[in-house]
Amino acid sequence: MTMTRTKRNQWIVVGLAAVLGAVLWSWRGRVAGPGTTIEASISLVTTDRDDLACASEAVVRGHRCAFRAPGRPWSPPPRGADLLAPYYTTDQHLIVIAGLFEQPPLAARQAAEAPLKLPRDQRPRFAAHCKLKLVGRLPPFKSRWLAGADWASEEAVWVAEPSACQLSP
Amino acid sequence: MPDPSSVDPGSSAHLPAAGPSLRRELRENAPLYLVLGVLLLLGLFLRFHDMPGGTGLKFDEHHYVRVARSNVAHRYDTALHPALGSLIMAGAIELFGDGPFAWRLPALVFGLCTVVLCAWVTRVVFKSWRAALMAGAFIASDGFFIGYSRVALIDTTLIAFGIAGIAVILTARNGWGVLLAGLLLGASASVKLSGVPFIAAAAAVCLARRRLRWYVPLVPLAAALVFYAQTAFHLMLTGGSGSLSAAIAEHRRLLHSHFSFTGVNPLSSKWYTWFVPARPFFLWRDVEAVGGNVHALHMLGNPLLWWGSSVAVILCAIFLARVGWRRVWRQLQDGAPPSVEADAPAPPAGPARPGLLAGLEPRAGALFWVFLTWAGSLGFWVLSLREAYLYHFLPIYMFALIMLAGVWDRWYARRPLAALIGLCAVLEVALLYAPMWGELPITEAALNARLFPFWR
Repeated sequence: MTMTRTKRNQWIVVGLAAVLGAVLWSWRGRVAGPGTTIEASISLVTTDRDDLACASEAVVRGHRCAFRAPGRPWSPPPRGADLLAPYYTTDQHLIVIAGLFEQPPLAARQAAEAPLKLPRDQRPRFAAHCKLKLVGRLPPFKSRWLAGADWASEEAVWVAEPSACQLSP
Repeated sequence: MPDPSSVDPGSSAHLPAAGPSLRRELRENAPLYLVLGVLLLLGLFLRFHDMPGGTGLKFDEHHYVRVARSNVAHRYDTALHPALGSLIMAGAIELFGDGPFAWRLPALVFGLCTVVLCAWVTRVVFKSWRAALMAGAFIASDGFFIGYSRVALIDTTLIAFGIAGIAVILTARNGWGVLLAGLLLGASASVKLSGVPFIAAAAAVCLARRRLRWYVPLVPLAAALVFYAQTAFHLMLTGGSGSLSAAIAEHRRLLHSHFSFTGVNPLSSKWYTWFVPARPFFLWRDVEAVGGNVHALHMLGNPLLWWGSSVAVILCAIFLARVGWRRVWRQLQDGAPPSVEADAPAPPAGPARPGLLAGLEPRAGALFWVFLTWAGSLGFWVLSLREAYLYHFLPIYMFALIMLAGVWDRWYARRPLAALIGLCAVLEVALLYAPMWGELPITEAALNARLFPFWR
């Protein structure tokens, strides 16, 4: 009888420890995680659609870079909305966004400027203000900032899905 | 006949190692083993989470990665420590390429080995699988050991060779065992010179034990052989001479650079503050540009284990004093008995002594060696009369945790509920500090809430 009570008490202690442990484990403040939506401004020119690229084997919620590794494109290539590319926010933070140029305002701007066939440095720079839903982390990857340029190494960053983009100017 | 005072119905020392008895032990103490299992799993998770990490070099990694790269390129580079740690890292780079995986793999592997080896030493010293499992769980789930398992530093290499050598010498029965211990401890000192006290402790074990007394010279000789071999290999690999004089010159330069360093780094602290600890610091701290999450790697251990291990050292010292030098010396001469039951012929037991460690008298000799190695590792820094970084406390803390596991085992044998509550508290604290041991995302405010201002 005593043994049973002792054992029961032990299990009660472990049960209480599990409850308290779960609270302590998850007490980390309001951390940004998958599902968190932030707002950000991204500085762009329309040629970025073809210039900016990343290379990684990782697939984040169905989104992929254009390349598995520098010079080795994914086959088949990802659909436009799933195509990941690296961008810098206007406050100089790196983020990888899926299908940014598929957003209607950006697609329209792209369509308007394309027939002009202006070189990159003559195209007007603009900012896209978007809601970005964080969906996962892209492990360390390679980035390319200009078609034909060298690849750079990047640390792990967030991958985001854009919505409600507005352009300025 | 066993010493009646040593008989403890709650001790796993009296259970066969496997079969129905083991199952009964697991069933009867299931809550305990569940908590220990969770601690072990938590330690594994925090070691492997998001490893090998990014290409950004953390804390002092740049020293070791730079020297390891030079070794791979057969180019000499001035190192801060003997070469073995960097040579092992160079081997990993040679095998897996120059990247975070190769840089940090040795620390991770040796860190995991330390968990197993500490459990082994605890088993040898206390003859209890339960104490061994506790020691493994403590080392596995403690942030000090986790932090140093996640970075390309050489401290886990130092302690893994050290504890392996101590384990071997405690169980040595002939010259081969002594030789192996000497080689392992030589490897430890070849990683950092703070491994030298382990060699002294092993030589003392041989000197005291009748059966091994003739082999005492083997310990320093084997250690010196390893020390010379790795130096010569390093020098030849990087285009120099492997002669004895070149090796001596290399280490004179190394010692000179250590002794000529007179500056006091704000992160360093006096040895007696390590027991608080007064100045643990971040090995890495990164704030995500997008989202603002902090990813931190702090060297702080589990405060409950940290402070508890100091209490355990004091209890063991008192216990050894009460057992008496004569009885301890007799055990030192004979070596650790293979089991509590095999302690016969036991000296007259006298009246049973009250106290947490009562019943451990037949293990006093083995416990003395752990205590001596703890004291020797600490004495190295006490005698140096200089401020040093807290990470030098790592081997000292390791031996203190082994003693703590033995004390906790006895506590559990006498007051299972109280000891289990204590273990649950250790688990809670580990879960609280886990984000800053495993680089889990956390907000700045939540991180700071876990740390005293002098821990930030």
